[in-house]
Amino acid sequence: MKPGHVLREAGDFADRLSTLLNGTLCQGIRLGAAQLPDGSVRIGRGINKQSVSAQTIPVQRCMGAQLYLVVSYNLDADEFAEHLMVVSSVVGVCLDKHGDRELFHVDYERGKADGYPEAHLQVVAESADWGTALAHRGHRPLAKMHLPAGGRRYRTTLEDVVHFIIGEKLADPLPGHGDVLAKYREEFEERQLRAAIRRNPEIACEAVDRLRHER
Amino acid sequence: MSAGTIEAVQLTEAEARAAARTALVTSGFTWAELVEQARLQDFSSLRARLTWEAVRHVGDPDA
Repeated sequence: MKPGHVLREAGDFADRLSTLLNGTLCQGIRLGAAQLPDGSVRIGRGINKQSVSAQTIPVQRCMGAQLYLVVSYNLDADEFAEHLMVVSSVVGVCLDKHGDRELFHVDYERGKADGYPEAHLQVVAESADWGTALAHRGHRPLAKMHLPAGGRRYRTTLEDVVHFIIGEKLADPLPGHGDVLAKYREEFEERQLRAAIRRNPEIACEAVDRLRHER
Repeated sequence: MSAGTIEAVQLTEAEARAAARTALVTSGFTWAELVEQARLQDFSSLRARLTWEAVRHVGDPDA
């Protein structure tokens, strides 16, 4: 996969995310894509020649407090140098445009080596019971807990966070949002299935053979 | 380079370093602070986490 191909596919990825956002909760959002000297590509709002920082994205028609989405991705070619993959991402929700008043975020870091789940949820909240449970860890706050969020192939996605905001009536979605979400979910799941098959061809062939014999 | 409606650009080493430097100054964190927070998997805030995400593939802009 040549550097130009990585950037072009990353641009397409940013385009799809922008369309997802503009078809559900946002208006006029264009995510940018910038390829770094190491070949990886940054994706986020406001990313360009001068900036590698992802700006927050205002949610339109909030039904309560004004919400802002955090959407930040680092992409690169996979180990086969054939396909684009997400190296790491942060998707979350906060109450201010600088990201200081966070509600929660979903982190994904491929190949995370420190024992924490590659995909995890961190919620900025507290409760007496969590306080009790974490007392032996120096009253570590719940916000520091890495709650598992689905693993590499079935991790929580931007689509899930958008769905959460709509489902919990935190914002009034745009007409047709259900079709948009379904389309992008299906695409994500298909990409993950293809990636799983590429890495486990024997298992995939065995499953297909079994299906053939069952029919 | 343009892909669909998205602006997709390539950064030179100098541009990437300048952008990373701006990200660090704006965030109020130093490269060393973020390296340590990443090592401990204990980011002090979402802003810190996002800034690390922004600069980690560039490296220390002042090295």
